[in-house]
Amino acid sequence: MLLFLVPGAALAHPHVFIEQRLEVRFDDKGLAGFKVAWSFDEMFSVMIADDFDSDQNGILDEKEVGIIREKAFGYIAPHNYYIHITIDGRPFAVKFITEFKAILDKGKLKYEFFIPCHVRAGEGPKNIVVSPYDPEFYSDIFFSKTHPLEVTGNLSFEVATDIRIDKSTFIYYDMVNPWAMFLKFRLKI
Amino acid sequence: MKSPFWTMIMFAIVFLGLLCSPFPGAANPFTQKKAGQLEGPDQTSVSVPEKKPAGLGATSPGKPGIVRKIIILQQQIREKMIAMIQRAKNTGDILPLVWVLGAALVYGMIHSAGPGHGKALAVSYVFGFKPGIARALLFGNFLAFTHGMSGVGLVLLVKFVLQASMSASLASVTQVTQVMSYSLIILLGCFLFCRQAIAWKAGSRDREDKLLPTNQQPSLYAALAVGMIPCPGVVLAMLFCISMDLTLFGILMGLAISAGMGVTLSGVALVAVLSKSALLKGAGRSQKGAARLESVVEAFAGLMVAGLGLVFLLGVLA
Repeated sequence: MLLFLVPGAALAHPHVFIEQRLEVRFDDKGLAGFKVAWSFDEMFSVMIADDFDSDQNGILDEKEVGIIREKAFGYIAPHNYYIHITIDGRPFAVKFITEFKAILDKGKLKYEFFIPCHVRAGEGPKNIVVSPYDPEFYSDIFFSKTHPLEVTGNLSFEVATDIRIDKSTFIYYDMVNPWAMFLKFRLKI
Repeated sequence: MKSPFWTMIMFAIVFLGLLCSPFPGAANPFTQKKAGQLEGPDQTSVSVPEKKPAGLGATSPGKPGIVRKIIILQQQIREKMIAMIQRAKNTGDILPLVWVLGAALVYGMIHSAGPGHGKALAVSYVFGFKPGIARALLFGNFLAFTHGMSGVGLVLLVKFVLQASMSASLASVTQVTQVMSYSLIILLGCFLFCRQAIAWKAGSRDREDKLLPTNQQPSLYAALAVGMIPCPGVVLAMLFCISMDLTLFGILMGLAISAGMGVTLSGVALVAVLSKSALLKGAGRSQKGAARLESVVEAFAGLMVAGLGLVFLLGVLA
């Protein structure tokens, strides 16, 4: 009976599944930020399309995207837009995003947005961890199996990336470890 | 009575565990405002102290644990259901839909095994109302079907009667039903506890039964109180079927998911009945000792139910 009731042994139930691709963008000085691309499952996509594609033509125009940004995305802003970043172990608060896009691609809802995060490169490595997760676990965010990561921009740095489960972070009553992208970069020696 | 101390320890563990359970029927965070704003450093640039050069070697990838594997399984089942529904829509073949109903049953079983979905109430009902196995199973299934079919009812009402925004409606209805449900649960728990308190004061368990004759036990009302919160999983499945012009199939799918949840909740209720029976037998051969222990168990169940309801209600109102 306790196995059903004690959270440690219970199973999970997210309602929304989000496939993520990440672009790590560099500029002349170092890291410039992250472009996030989300692809939602069809069931959630149908609900949003039904509510916000006002002319039901399968295409989200500028006005509809603006409303989606306010009413179907903006509410997660207090939670770092579900993108939790640490820089050398210190949390980085995502207070705003740019380049927001929302599209319907064959019935699937997709969001894209850019998180400015400037970190100057130095001789020593900078350790960045980017972990996408919903703290309440209503949504499960996972990296795509195909092309989950891309590094772009000024490539005059030594860069190493890895995607794996972050065993040091626990969510949803310590039952789940989220996926994370681990980034290291420094000036080329 | 054997080991009353360990009995109370067991219930304390269960109570603390239940306090950690998240609230059932949580609202969609994308379409509903949440409180709280994170504080942090300026986002545009970060000053990071220099560190000694070190290698940039790769690390070994981690393996998903059992919980993560279950989540992946849940997602795969859902993806498969979506693909099968689309295939049925495109080809006119009914067989994929039969597969989907079976998968929906399994999905409901897995989905409700997680925190929420009324398992705590099912256990509390068993410990508070002394039902037989048949009534405990009925309670579990009634709770599951109410939870699932309230989702179906909400979608039909919003889509075809009110013709309003589904995401906004789900958020507001979830909040309203949560407040109503948790308030009723608090009242139920208080009733259970007060019933025992009056019996203790009167010094007789006969008085307790006279307060509430067996044929008027509000067991199904308790199931209704929790089940009224619409299941988001059923809502999303129903909406998807309506978008495929398969409204009737969506209702069947909601029934299948509810049946799956009923299997899980019935299992929980059954285990609770058997556990309680074993517990009371372990109290020893003294009839008086067993009666006293049962009384303590029922009073504690009432406190647990009321406490859970209060925690959940405060979470919604915060």
